Amino acid sequence: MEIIKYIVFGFNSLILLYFLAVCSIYITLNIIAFFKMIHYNRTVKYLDLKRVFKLSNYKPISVIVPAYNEANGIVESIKSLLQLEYPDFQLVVVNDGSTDNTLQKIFENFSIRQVSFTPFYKLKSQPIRSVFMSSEYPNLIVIDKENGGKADAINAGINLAKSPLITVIDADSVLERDCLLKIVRPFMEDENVIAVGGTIRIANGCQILHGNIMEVALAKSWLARFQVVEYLRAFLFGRNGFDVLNGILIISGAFSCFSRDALIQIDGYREGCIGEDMEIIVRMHRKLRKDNPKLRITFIPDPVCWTEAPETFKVLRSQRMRWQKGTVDSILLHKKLFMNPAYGWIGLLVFPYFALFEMLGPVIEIFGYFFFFTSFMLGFVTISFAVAFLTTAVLYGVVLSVLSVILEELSFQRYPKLSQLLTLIVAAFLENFGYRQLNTWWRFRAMIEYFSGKRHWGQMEKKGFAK
Amino acid sequence: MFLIIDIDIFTFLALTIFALLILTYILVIQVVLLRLYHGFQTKQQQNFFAEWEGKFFNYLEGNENPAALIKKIGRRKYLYLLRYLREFFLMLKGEDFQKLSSLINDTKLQPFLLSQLKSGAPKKINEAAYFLGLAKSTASIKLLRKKLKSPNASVFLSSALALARLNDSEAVFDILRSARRFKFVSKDSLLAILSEYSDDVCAPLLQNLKREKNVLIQSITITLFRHFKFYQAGETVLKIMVYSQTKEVIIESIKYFAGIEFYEALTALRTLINNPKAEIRTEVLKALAVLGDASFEQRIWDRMYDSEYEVQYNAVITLLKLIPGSEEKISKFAYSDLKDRAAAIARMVLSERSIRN
Repeated sequence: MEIIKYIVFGFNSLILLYFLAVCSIYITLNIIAFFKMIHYNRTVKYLDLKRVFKLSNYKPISVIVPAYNEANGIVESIKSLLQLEYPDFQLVVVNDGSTDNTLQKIFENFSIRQVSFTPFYKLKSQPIRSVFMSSEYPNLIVIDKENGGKADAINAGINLAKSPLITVIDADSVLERDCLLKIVRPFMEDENVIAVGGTIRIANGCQILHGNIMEVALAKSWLARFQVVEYLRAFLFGRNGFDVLNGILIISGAFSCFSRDALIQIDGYREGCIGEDMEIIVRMHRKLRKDNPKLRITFIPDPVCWTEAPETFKVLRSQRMRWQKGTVDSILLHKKLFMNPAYGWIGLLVFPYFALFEMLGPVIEIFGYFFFFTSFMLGFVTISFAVAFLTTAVLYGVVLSVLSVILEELSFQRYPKLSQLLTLIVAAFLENFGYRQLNTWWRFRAMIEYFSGKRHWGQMEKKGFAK
Repeated sequence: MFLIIDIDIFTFLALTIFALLILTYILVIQVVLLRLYHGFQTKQQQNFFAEWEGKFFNYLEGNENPAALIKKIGRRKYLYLLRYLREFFLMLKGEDFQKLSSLINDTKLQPFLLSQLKSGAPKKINEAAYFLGLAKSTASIKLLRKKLKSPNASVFLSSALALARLNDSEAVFDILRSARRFKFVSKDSLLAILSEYSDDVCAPLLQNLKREKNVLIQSITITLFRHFKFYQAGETVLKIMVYSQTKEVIIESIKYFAGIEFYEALTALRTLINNPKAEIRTEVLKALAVLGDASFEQRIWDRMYDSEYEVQYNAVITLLKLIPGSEEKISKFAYSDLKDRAAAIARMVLSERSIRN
């Protein structure tokens, strides 16, 4: 019994230390993010972006849109993407062997004709069947290739893209009109920048017309509202905070921008990877920044892209499990970075943070609940202590969520009505009671599935935006 | 042992909970109050805009004295009025602009804004500088110049923007030099501000460029010369480009020569076509498409076998633009070897051209 007591006590102490470490890291990230936002807003406040781009050495961009069975939305998506504000961009739509009539729809709507195109680069991808250009929209290129998955489709797009900057987006993303102007600024200001990400927002509930956000609103479903708060937290203070250490380890696949040369140097996206958006960034750190630590992977806090969030538990579970598997996959593939001083902050702080708190977090949390419950049942901790500890943990989560809503209020104020703000605050409270724990459970299950060999993507159904 | 730890941690947790509760409460109250205040202000502003709209257009069309018109407005609402006028400042020209400026320069609004400018609050200073600049209020120049020395970056930026709108040429060097104090005042921000000047600013900038050693200032100045199509700087920029080791300065110079069609730079461009930096070679090719002649044909053909595809791509484009009848020759080349990279790029350019035509 004494031994059990010591084991339980030891583990509880570890959990407590772990909790304190998480708290300290999050508080630090919040403070850093707050100052970074002030700094950023000051910098861009007096900038008329369109005027700057008339004067300066703007870099042309190729926007790559991988599309697989997107017949329902592809025409609207392309039309909306063609309206992006940027002086020189090329839109590369990659039909990844769709089995529906995605290509047919593009044929019917954009006057495309087959052209002679030879890939400039030789990133690995499934064979390209044909390349088309539009006589109506000279900056539109359509690639028809055999199916190979998202990473494969992006690689095919990179092989044919002619601009020095590559933006990769999801076909169903809704972009802000000036997103390219914003995302390209870090590349213009610092030639060491090799990748930039922006803030992704939840579009559920928003009014969308012809691929443009007409009115920002919140979804009726609380599940989507919780995700709004979650995204605010992840982007506004998580990524902002890590950016100061040049420690961005993930850029959302829904919208990311890269230097083409950097992508070519690391042989493009890795095929068959579960979380290709995280893997490519970690690989960039590993392969490129070791030789040149000045290289930067950075993040701009502006909302640039809106995406559809799952509104059913089934789809959400599938998404979260896939994300967790992606995190585990990327971390294990690049475990060489762990505590490796050759990679600076990334090796010593950011990568260990992701390994210990993002990858192992759900396991530790679930075991924590188990041991805590066991301790309580065995009488090792008093009821008052148990309640106090759990209340602290939950309240701490509430404070973090509310802080992210405040950060949004102080910076972008994209939710204009008071009722929306209040709803967000309520969601920030409620998500800590059940939703967060459910997520932990799904992520824990994902870990079990991953290590037992079930590493497939899973299904991700989207119901599409109401037009 | 467990009991002791239990009590200590319990006290700690209780205090933490109390602190977190208080913090959450304060944060929520603060954010709601902020939003309520903002909402109230927006409503007041909307009412003011609705009320003022008729008056403003009557003023523009009639002969009403601006001072008398502004006198009717309470000082509390000055900010609403300024916000209402902002869009018009950016749109109106000529006589309408003069009348609009009079609403600030010949009324109590000017001393109000000047007093804001003198205040220590960056927010007030920024707002005042913005409107004084828009209204081209010369009375503010002295104060604005002082503000360029402010340690606050936003105050520096707003004052610089106002001085540029006021076309105060003397301040341009202070702006360029003071900007270096701030880490995050980028080249883009400076260009956006300096392009608000009229082309009168080019003459003093040219004098300065002759002795300027800072590459950022050189590069910004040359970009501005291109923007204003200032031909007189050609010789000076040429000298700078020839001796410069900085990629940015060289690229800006090449763009400038193409922008103003400065044919005297052709000899220098001829040497740069083989520069080790691909961006420079690309820019030279683009410039040659504007400035070059048939004597460059062979050099440009050579660049079709460049190691960088952007250079190759631009070589084909330049040949097509520069050499009459080159399309046939390039077509032949494009289909001469289907495995050759240069030929593939030529095919791509021809494909693009055919579809665009």
